[in-house]
Amino acid sequence: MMSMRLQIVIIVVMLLAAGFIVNLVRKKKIDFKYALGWLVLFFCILVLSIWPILLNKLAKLLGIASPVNMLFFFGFCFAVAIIFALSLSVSRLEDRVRKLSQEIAIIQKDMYDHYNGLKQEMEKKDSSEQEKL
Amino acid sequence: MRKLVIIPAFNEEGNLEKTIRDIKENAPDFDYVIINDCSTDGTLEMCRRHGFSYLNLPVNLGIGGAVQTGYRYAYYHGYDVAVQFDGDAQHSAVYLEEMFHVMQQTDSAMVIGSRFIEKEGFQSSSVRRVGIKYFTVLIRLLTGKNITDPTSGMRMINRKLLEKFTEDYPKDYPEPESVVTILSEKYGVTEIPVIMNEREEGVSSISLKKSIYYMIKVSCAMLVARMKR
Repeated sequence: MMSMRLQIVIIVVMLLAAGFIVNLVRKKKIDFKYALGWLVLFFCILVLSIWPILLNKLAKLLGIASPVNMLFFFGFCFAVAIIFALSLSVSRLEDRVRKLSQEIAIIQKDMYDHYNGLKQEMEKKDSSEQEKL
Repeated sequence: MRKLVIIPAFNEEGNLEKTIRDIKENAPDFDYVIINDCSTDGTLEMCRRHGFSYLNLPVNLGIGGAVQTGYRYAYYHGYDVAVQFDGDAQHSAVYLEEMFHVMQQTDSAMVIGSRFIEKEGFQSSSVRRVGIKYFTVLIRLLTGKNITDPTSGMRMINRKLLEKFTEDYPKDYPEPESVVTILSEKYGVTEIPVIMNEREEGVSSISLKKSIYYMIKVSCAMLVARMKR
């Protein structure tokens, strides 16, 4: 069994962390899409530490001797999943940034070339009109 | 046939002028474009001052992303052939016409300028040669084809590969990996002997410190490239 003191510590820490993230969402510092994973994690740990019977049963099921270790194991797996999802989205972002930068560079050159072409045409026109005069 | 020379440039202020003159004199049928990959020296100012044709990347993409920018540009503008050409005056433009002829005669998708067929000119340091030899052996194991200079930065590709590389090109150290990819997909690759010079200014993109990462990363990437097919 978990000691009462540990239970209280975990509950307080989880509530603080959840409050912190909700506040960031409120201030639009973090997209709700990315906050959701963390909030679900905090909520699950909160539930498991408020009703340790649940934790004990799960621990027994997986053959983990100490229920607290079950809590850590669960938290670790969940956190790894969140981090991995982040790696995926970083890769996707990188692809998008690369493509965007390439397109910008090309558009810039095309615009510049187009402008220069027009300028030359105008100058040619000007000089031929001057010749006529 | 419209042909484009792609010159990726990262801090090549000291070499670019010579490279462009070389192309204009020795490969007059080719258009060229410089890709300035966020150089921190005066590369951009020099391109502007001399009226060079250049693409200016807003963020640093590394060699793979820079060369891909050139491929994308060539593809959008309807070029039939594009050739990567280093901006550090290591390559010589006299080979470009020959590469193009070989490409047409052999109907290859890619023509590589190789230092190690006739073993003339600058042969790289002995440590690097061992690394290159390792890639040659690995490519032979993976694809059964013999590529003597898989790290060569002098590579000409046809429009089909232009389209393919515009869609997907490795980010860093792209040369050996992309060779395995296209060999796995049964495209023809031919090598011709070229003589390269030792670089005069600037530093190689691959320092000794990075070479361990380079070997491991490229080996894995080549395996993955082979597995895709």
